[in-house]
Amino acid sequence: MFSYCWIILFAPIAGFTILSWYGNRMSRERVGMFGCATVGLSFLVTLVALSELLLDAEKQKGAVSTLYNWVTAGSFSLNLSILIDPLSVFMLLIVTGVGFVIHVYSIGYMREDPEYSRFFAYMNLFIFSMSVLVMAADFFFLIVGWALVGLASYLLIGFWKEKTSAVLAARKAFVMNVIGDVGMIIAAFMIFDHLGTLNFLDVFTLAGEAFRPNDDAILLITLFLLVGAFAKSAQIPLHTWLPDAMEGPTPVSALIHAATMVTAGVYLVARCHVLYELAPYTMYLIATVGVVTAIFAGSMGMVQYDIKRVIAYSTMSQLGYMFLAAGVGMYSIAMFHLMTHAFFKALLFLGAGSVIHGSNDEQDIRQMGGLRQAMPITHITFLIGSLALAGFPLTSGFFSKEAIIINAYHSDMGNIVFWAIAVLGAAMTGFYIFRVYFYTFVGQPRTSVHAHESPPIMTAPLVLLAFFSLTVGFGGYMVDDFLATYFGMHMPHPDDPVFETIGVGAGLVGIAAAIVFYMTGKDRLEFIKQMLAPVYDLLFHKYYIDEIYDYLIVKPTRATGAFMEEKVERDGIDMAVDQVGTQVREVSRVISLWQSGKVRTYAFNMIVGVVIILMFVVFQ
Amino acid sequence: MEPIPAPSIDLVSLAPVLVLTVFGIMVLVTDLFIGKNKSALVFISLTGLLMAAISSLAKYDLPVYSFNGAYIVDHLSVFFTFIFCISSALAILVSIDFNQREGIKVGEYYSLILFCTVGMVLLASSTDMIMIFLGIEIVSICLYVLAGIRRNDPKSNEAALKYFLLGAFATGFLLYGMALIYGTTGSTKLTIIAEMIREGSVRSEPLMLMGVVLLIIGFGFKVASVPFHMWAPDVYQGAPTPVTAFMAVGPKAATLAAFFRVFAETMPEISPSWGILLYILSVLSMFIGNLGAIMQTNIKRLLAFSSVAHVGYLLIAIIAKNSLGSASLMFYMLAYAFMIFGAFGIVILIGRKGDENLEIENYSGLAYKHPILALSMTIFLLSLGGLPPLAGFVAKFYIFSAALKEGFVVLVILAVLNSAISFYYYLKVVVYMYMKEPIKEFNITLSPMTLFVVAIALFGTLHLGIFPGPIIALAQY
Amino acid sequence: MDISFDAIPLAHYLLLSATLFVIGVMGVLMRRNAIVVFMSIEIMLNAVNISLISFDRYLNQHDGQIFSFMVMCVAAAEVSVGLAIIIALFRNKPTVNLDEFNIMKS
Repeated sequence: MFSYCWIILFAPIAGFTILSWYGNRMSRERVGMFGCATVGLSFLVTLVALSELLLDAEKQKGAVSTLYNWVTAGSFSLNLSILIDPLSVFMLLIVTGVGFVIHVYSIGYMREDPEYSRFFAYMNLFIFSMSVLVMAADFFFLIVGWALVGLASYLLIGFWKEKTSAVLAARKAFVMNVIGDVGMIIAAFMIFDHLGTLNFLDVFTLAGEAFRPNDDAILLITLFLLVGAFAKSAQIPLHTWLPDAMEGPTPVSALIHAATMVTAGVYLVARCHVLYELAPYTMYLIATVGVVTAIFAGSMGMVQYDIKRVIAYSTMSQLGYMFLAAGVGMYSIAMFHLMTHAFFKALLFLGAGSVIHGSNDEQDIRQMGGLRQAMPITHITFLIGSLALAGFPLTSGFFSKEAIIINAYHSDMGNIVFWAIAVLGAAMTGFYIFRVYFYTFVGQPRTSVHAHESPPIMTAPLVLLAFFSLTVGFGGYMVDDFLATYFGMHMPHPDDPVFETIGVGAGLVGIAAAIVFYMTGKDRLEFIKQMLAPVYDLLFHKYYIDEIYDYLIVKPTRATGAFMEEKVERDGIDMAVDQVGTQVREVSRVISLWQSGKVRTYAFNMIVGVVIILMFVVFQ
Repeated sequence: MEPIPAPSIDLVSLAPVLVLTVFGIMVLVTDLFIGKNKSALVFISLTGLLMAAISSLAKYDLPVYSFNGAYIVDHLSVFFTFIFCISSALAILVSIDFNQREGIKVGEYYSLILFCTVGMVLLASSTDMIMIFLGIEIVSICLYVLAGIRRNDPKSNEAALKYFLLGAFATGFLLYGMALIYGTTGSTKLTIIAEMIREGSVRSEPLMLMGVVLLIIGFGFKVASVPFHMWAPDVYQGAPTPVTAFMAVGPKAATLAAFFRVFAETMPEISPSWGILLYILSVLSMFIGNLGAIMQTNIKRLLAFSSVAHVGYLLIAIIAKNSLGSASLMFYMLAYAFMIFGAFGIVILIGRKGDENLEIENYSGLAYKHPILALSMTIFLLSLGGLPPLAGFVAKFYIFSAALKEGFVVLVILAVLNSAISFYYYLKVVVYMYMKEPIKEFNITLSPMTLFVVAIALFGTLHLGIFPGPIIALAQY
Repeated sequence: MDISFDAIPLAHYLLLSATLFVIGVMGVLMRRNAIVVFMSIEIMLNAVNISLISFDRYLNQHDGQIFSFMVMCVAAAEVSVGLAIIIALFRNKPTVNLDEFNIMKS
């Protein structure tokens, strides 16, 4: 059953292999078409799987398709297998669907790039990795996919390798992601230690008997999994890589850092909901971190001037909402928001890309303005995306975000604080996105650069995504029905007109505030800026987090090895830029120094080893 | 006068050793009668290795003890004999073009490799401490000479001297350990020692413990585990590159096989006393090996440190001391042979006469000029790091599951962490190959034999990674 | 012959052997001359031989004697290889001071 679903994996990896091998010898049109075709094929196969699931309710329980038994060690075996169930198909639809649209857009966006084929090769690699992640039938392949998307993300962020900031950002993202991977690996070992299997279906069946709620073991397992989830989804405190990741090409930001990879954390929590339900404390932590990230990132988005950074912070913030929903036990709402977000955030990024493309690679919104006339299609679609993000009534964001906000209070694990912060975050969302909108599209052009509309190959995806951003919200019930078999429950619809109205109102208030601030006279803005100077300063400096890191960690270590540091830094080719790397290299250097080249020193070291071992044995 | 009882002499089980010895002597003799062209020697050596591998299958009702219980043909020894023959054959193939380039025109080179293989087969098949000692010494003495085979090169000389002095020094410890164990148990036969330990009378004997510790030290040196690893980087760097590859695989595998026999099979009952020591050595080897590799700029030194780390992983199989442990040891060494010969094959291709082009910098931009070589090197390095679905991953996977089965969760987590660290320096080389501009023109002669070895290694690395099933089944037989 | 052995307990032989072994180790650590270091290693091996022979005698067996013969053979082989290496080294650089051989280091 579902063995044809392997095509979803094989198509993009074949694309990657062929493009990286023959890409340079193929014409640009061929490369673009080929790169898109593989992902398109995956999407079509996903649609077939979807229809099969929809037609036969029996199959919704999930089926594992095994290619062959890979390794067997004693009672434990790893099979090359994929899991097809509503959740994985749902994720695949987003990954391959949105991925396909973004691939098409890239044909236009990357047209001028000399390394066109390498870009599509990496993009295909990413689609493959992400498919591995969501189709994995056990924790092992989940981690493989997890690490692979990290690798693909590294390659794509650092795609323009002559751009130093991009390379640094890529390293930062990679290091953060590796931290997450290590957390996942430890969690997998603990799961194996307690349950003797890594298979999803077995783990979730056995977990109920093996753990009592809030056991130490289950808490640790869920927390270590969470390290991976937070690192990938850029939640506090592992969030710093995401804004920097905007140094990569814009389609990459849209695909990886908005629609798919960053949502892997939410997917993980949803996938392992059985484990998380056994650990209510962790759930509470998830909701708290989610809501804090939502407001924290939202507040930083309000003052950034780089159009992509604003949207990046917005992504963090929306991911916070998804974690909030998952944390209060409303998984299908989290997945629903994940879907609507994938559409409108991809739309916003691609719109931003179109703006950047049209105004000669300018990213600073202060240098833009009045693009409404020059780029009509981009303008309209960006507006739709902004409305959806702000939760304007009847757009897709409205349905999903409303559901989260209302359930932040009404679900069993919700409370009024979550609700209030979520509402505040919604207001911020409306504010920051319309700030960007007004800066960019409204008013008079601020520079002499003559902006132009992007070619149809770029605007067509925008229109398509805009259409979905407007409509998918009405499919909430369908999503819920579809996923209900996996989560074992339907999402509730609390009837609370007051709270609902406040929730809707918040987004509108945010939009209104943006209108007040940025539509009218400039003087008023300056006045308010001065009034709020300290707060503004705080926000603009990202809460001084980088500075605090610097003071607490970087400075002391620098002081101890200032001299050596310079030497080591000059080598500067290594992967990690953070202090962990430096310390590791320091240790390595000491080990190298130990290697003096003299035989007698070596003999002496051996004897020291011998004596220590003998002492150890004698005194044991 | 009472007749002296003669032990049963079973030459058939000794067949691989005899075949290799005969062919080794044949190489030496033939060398006297042929001219400058040494390719006949290569042919003879390879034939010998092939025949040795085949003759190791002569016994089929395993295990077979012979020579009064001093020699065993069992699953472990047959599997390892194959590994030795494969690795020696690869070493010879990879040497042909190298020797031509570097002007090593000596026939004894090939016979030394064959004699060394004799030692390895003995080592993996002995169940008597005297034999183990002899095996280790045959291997070591051949390696001392091989490391210094470039007589006019100061580096090669120095490597040989260091290896020789420290090796002989360590032999002293090994021997002392054997003497003490002999003294307490009254026998050099592993089966009798095992029996004595099972009975329990010698378990807490201080001399016995002392002997065990000294044995660990001796073996620890031969496999280059921390803190007895310090010779490895220098010797690996100074020895001719094919010899480096050769000694990173075969002799190490042989010593580990003996290590496994002496500890995991003979004295599992007193495992608490040696297990903890090996535990510490393993953890230290992994950390020092991996951390030490990070700062290396010479590719051979880098691989030397990485091999120290790999010994750390391999010791885990001995600590686990179960049947899965021995199977994983076999699989790991086979996979390791392919990865190492692949990586060193490329090092040989990139290198030029007189130890040039051995710095990691020299690999800059390889991917633009020779994409296939760069890709192969990437695969070998990533496999060494343990990236699925390559051979190195599956090998580690088996070792770790053997340890998990015995409940060594922390050790395994440390090992996994170390694998993560190791990617740091493996990827460093990859980054150089793919993301840097070449510092100078590559002037690579694509010598066919070396390319052939790389191709075999590539096939092995991928095949063992993607379809490990049959080989694992053989190892677990 | 037996009487004279019984008069001296095993422990004394072992002590002698251990002392010689440590002297050998110290020689390796302290001396700079490659030849002397090499001789010290030979002292270590022969110290072990004393242990082997005395155990052998004490246990009234033959294994230890055979073992010690093997050790001697191996030691002889090692000597030949070792001296060859030192001579090859001396040709390139006329010294036997171990501290002067450190081209290779990190």
